[in-house]
Amino acid sequence: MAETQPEPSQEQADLITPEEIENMSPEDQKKLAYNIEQTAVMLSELTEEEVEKLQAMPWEKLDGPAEPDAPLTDEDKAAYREMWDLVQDGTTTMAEVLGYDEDEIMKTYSVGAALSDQGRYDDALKIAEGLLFLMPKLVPGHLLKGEVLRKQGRLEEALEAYNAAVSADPTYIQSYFERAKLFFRAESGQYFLMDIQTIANLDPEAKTPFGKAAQKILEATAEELKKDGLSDEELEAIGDALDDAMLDIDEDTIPEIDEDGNQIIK
Amino acid sequence: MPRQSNDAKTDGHRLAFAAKRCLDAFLLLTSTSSEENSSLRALVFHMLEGHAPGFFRRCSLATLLNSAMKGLQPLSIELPENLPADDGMARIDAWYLRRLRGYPHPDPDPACLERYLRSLEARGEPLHGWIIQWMCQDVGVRTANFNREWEHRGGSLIHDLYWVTHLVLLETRYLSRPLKPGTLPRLEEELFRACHYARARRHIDVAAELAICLQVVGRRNHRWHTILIDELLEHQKHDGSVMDNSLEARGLRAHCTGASLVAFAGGAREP
Repeated sequence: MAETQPEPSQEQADLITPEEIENMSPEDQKKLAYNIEQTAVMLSELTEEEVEKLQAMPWEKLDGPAEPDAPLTDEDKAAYREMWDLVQDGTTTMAEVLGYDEDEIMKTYSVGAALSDQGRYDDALKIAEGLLFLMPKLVPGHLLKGEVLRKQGRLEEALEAYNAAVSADPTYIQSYFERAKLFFRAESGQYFLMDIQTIANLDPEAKTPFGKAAQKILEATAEELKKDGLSDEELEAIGDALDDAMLDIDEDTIPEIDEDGNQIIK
Repeated sequence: MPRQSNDAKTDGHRLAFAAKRCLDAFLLLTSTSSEENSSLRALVFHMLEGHAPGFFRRCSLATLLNSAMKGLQPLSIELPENLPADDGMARIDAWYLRRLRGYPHPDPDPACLERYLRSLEARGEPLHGWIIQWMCQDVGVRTANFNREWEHRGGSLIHDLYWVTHLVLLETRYLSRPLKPGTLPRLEEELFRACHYARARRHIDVAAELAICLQVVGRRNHRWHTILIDELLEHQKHDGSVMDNSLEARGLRAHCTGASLVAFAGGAREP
């Protein structure tokens, strides 16, 4: 049965253009900036040129301008440019510049994950890309993006997203697990096993569901792993072990992270 | 933004020119596909991407970085006990970089890794062991008895000097992320002390790494940075390479040229 195209969300229908933002009063800009869901969606749609326009906005005035209607001065522009440079070299993030805290970011992530679960992939992708604009190293953002792209069948792009998740934090176990699933689906047995082995090395005592799953897979496929090439039957055996291990993982669980953004291992 | 002085502009152009000459020499020196050259190429381009993004873009190094990263894929991760320290380092560098940049790569076998680390210690190569262990911890692979502190201080001056530079290089994941303020207490003091020794002993390769470290901690305008950069420029040859006579016997000209390339390109950034 063909999937029906989901109706555009109210947030999407109400999207505001950068030009309109520029013409808003600082008070309205402030309201908009704190509406993270809309901002995240909006930012993901911007072209490079539009992002540059946004860069010229007096964000520093949003926290209580002395003269709300004063035009942007050269000093304001220089201050914003300096801030933008700090964002570019990774010293700070757009999320910090715009004043979003971790709760707001994770709330937005949850919205994106829910949209993905509902099959509203385009909306979920926009949320993921918006989150990554705000925090380029946000692993759950990369994972959400990868998940949506995987569900859309865009496997190469999904792989890029999972690679970016691993790169953002090479100790974040779930990234390897999600990528391993993708490799398995793409029948890249060698890479699949590499990631499963990495999970086992990162979590040798199998304290996380991913560590437990990796252990199960490795135990079930110990003989196959000793061989250089894998036959279809052997891959099938690994697939069964993977399916079995997956049953133990609650995929709806949002990864828990500590204050520094590291995954919490219980 | 403060207006640049003519001196600063001239310095910037001079360093950018030196960096370009260095790049040409570095590409030639690392053109053979040994494990060490492959790892060094990828590492230097990775550092340039984060530390001198303008230079990286102007020289269109993204394609070279991608192909260098792909070139690391076939590198072995086996670590037999008798493997020379530099070769082991090259394999671990390759694995670490592939992990950092999100490429799938097999992990070293934990038991072999431990045996190799013990053999490095026994062979009087504690610095290689310390760097390898740091990289392992950084990507979540635990090793026994790792101590972030350097327990061998005073054992070898050259090891002490490379330890200081690697504090910065490793903490920033080879210049791909900024150094968090307060992460390394008394770092500047250690760096300035190392600058003094590196210059006195003419350790040009260390001097290049120290210049990079001073750039990372925001000391581009410090007199030690100027002194070190001048020293590197003095040692740059007609072909663009930078020689370190204390390392030349070990065939590490490519390493010194690569480090100088990053130092020149990073120094040429607008203040």
